[in-house]
Amino acid sequence: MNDQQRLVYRLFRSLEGAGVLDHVVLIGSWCLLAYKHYFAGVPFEPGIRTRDIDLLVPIPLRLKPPVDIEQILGPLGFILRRGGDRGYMQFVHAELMLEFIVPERGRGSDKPYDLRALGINAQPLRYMDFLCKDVLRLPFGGLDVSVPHPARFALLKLIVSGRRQKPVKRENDLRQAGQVIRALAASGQQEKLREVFATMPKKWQGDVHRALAALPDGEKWRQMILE
Amino acid sequence: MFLKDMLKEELANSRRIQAAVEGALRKLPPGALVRKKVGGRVYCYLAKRKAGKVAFAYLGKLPAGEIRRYEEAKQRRADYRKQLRDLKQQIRYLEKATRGE
Repeated sequence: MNDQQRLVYRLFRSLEGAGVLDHVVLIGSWCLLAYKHYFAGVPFEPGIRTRDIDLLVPIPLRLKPPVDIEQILGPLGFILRRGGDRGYMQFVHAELMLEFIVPERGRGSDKPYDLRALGINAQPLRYMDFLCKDVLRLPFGGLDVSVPHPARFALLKLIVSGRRQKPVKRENDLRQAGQVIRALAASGQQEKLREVFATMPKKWQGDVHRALAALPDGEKWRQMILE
Repeated sequence: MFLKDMLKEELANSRRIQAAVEGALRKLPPGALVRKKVGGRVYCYLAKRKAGKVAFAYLGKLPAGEIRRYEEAKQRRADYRKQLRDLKQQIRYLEKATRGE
C-alpha cells in the first residue's frame, strides 16, 4: 500500500467516524479499486488513478447533526482551496485532491451548491442521479464504501468521454470504461449492461454509440453492451 | 503520448497544490510553544527564529484552548512541510518525465 492509498483509507475512516461516509458515494477512478473486490475471480487490474478523488453527495442530504468537513479534513493535512471562477471548494493534499459533487437537476446552474449539513459547497454535475440509482457497498480499506454499479460507471464514462475537452481525459475515460466492460463480460454480467443501457434516455444511448464508434475495438464492445 | 499527457496534468496539479500548501503554511501562527517549569509552575514561551537565532517571548500561563491551538499549528506546520518536500520531489520527477517536447 502506498502513501496515497493510506491517506484515502484515513480519509474514509475519518468520514465514517463523523457519520458522513454512509451519505456519500465514491465516484471517479478510485471506484476501480473497490471494483477489484467486486470482480474477484476475473482478470481486473485497476488502471491509472490520478490524485482526483470525488465524493458524490446524493441530495437531499439528511445528515443530523451537521458536521464541519473542514474540521475533519484539516487534521489529515488537507487544505481548503477554492477552485475556478465560481469558488468550488476543493480539499488538497500532496497526495490527493478531494471534491464533493452533487447531482445537477433541472436547467442546471454553474453556481456551487451549498451543503450546509457538511459546511461546504459542492459542484453540481450532470448524470449523477444516473450513478446514484444503483449503488453497491463494497469493501475498501476495511470499511464498506458506496460506489455506483460498475455497469453505470462504465456507461457514464462512455457518455462523458465525448464531452471532454482534453484528449487525455477522453482517453482515460475510454480506458476505464473498457476495463470495466471487459470485467463485466468476463463475470457474465453483459445482461446488466444491456439492462442499464435500455433504461437510458435515447440521447444518452446515442452518446454511447458515438463513443463506441470512435474506438478501434468499438464493435466488440457494442456487442457486449447492445446485443 | 497518453501517459505523458497524464503526467503533464499531474505536474500542473502538483504546482497548484504546492501553491496552496505554501499559502496555508504562511497563515499558521509563527513560532513554537515551549513550556518551562519554574519553581513547580509551568510558564509558556513562544520560540521564534530571528536572524538565525532562537528567541523566546514570554507568554505566561495560557488557557488550555490556546495551548491546543499552538500544538495543532505545530503539527500542521510539520505536516505541510513534509507535503512540500514530497511535492518538490514529485515536481522534479514530473518535469524530467515530461521534458523533451
